[in-house]
Amino acid sequence: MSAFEAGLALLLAFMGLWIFASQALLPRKIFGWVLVQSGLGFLLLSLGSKANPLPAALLLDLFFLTLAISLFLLILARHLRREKRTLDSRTLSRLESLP
Amino acid sequence: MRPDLLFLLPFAAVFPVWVLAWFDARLSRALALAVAVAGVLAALGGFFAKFSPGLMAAPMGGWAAPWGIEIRIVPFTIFWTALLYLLAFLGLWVGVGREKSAGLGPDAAPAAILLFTGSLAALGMDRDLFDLYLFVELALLAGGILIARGGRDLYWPAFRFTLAGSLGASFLLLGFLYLYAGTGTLNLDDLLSQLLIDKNEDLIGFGGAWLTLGLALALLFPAPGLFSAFLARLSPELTAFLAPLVGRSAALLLFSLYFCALGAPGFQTPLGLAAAEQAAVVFFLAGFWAGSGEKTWGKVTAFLSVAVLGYVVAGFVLGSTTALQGALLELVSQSLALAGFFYLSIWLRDAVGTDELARLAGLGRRAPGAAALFILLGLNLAGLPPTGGFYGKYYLFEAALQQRQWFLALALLAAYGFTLVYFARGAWRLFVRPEENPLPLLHPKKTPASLNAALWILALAGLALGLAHKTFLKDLITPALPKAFQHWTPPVETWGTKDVE
Repeated sequence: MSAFEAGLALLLAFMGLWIFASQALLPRKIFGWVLVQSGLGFLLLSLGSKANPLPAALLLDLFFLTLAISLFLLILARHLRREKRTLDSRTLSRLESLP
Repeated sequence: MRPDLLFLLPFAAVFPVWVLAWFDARLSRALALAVAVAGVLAALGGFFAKFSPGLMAAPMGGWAAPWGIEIRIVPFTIFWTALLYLLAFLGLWVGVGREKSAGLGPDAAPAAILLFTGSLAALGMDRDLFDLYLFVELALLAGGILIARGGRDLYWPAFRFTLAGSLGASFLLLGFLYLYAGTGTLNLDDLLSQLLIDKNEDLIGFGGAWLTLGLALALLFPAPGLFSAFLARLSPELTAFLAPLVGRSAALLLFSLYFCALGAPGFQTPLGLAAAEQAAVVFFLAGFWAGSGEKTWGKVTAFLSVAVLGYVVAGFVLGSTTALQGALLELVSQSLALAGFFYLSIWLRDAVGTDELARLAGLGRRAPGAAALFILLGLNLAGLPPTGGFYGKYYLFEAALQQRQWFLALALLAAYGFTLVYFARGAWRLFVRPEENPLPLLHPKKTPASLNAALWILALAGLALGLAHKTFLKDLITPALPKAFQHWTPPVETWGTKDVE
């Protein structure tokens, strides 16, 4: 694993975390998590080699799992927009705390 | 029978059950129930017929471990799987998936319960780190689907549960990749061997920290401070299914990771980490105090659900054979007692229309059956003999004294004393306290037979666990411990531990 590969993985993961924490809109939060996952995926890829194809195979698993979870979250976000007329997490939390 | 069928069974049934839900929800639920019953029978049958002599391992994917995926089954994991199937069966029987789905198309609850059960069962058997991450994510997805089916008010809690849980799982994966980068292996046993050779304490320390961070949210589920709006909206049947399992499955996974992968002998815990571990025990046990102010049975149980994990965490921190035996015994007895406590909350709402503690005065005299259940389940959760909960706590306290961990011993004793006082107060309220405005008992048919049966099964199972604790300890728990712990001789010879020798 070169410093470039490790640095890129770290950059993607930190960017994802920052977006996840700072953005209130649900699709952006999902995007933040997907960036974290892509950082981890890049880290996984960088651990592989020609002699060791396992990380590349695991990357495929990670991709499909991230896709499935993201799709489920997007479906929920779509329903939330239809029902609550908002995708803002702060507004949704405020609405939730109302009796 | 291949041992991996034990967790593959629900996965195989997920798709047919889900497809069936599009045509007939009742049939879909019936098929899921049949799979849960088959799971209980397969686990128990396998336990008594074939697996009892000891360990079974099965390679998957065509390669032997450590290159391929390994499924390893010891009697304790079979028992744990049977318990998961039993709780899935009771959940489906009592009511999860019975009421009409309020959201997201056809009712996916039965399929999601199977996916959730299979994923948790796999977490106890799989020895591959990446697989463990996949199963954590699948369990989160199933949990999210189960929550979302409650209707529009639960879309936001389901979203948060899935997204926050998945972010936690990403930290877990980061920890796994960190360990993989350092050792070149994803197999738990091979990882332990590599760490023994390398003696890389930084790898153990940082890897452990990431894994703990990744499972922190699951351990705290369903703490009312974090999940209060969530608890108010979730159906009590679903809470009774999810709450006992999420935290305790996370704790069991942590046990595998800490002691089967990272438990290299000779690892010196840094002072800061030791302090953080003891603070974590106190943090969980403080849940007893926090819950004492709550006014409804359901909320008190939610607090207790998190607080009692303090005993298990204390067992991990102590880390001796006796402590780990106590921690695993606690995991099982807590799961039974907590599921029973949540079902008792449903019983109260059905029978008297409320689970407000203030309005339950004198109920024990008018409903002796429910009062007997309260006593049996309460004995188990509070830790009074002859239940499994008592022996679990006894071993933990004994381990703390053996290791002269006075602070932990004091914390355990304080939590135990507090629980006893709380249990006594509840019993006094039910039996002795005069009834000022007695609540009328509704028609007996209001409480379904399935709920009563589930309560008795859980209460008697906790009792049986205590009565057979020596066998349980010797034949199930001790073989589940890492090899280094199986031959450990306790400095103080007492009953129970002597038998294990």
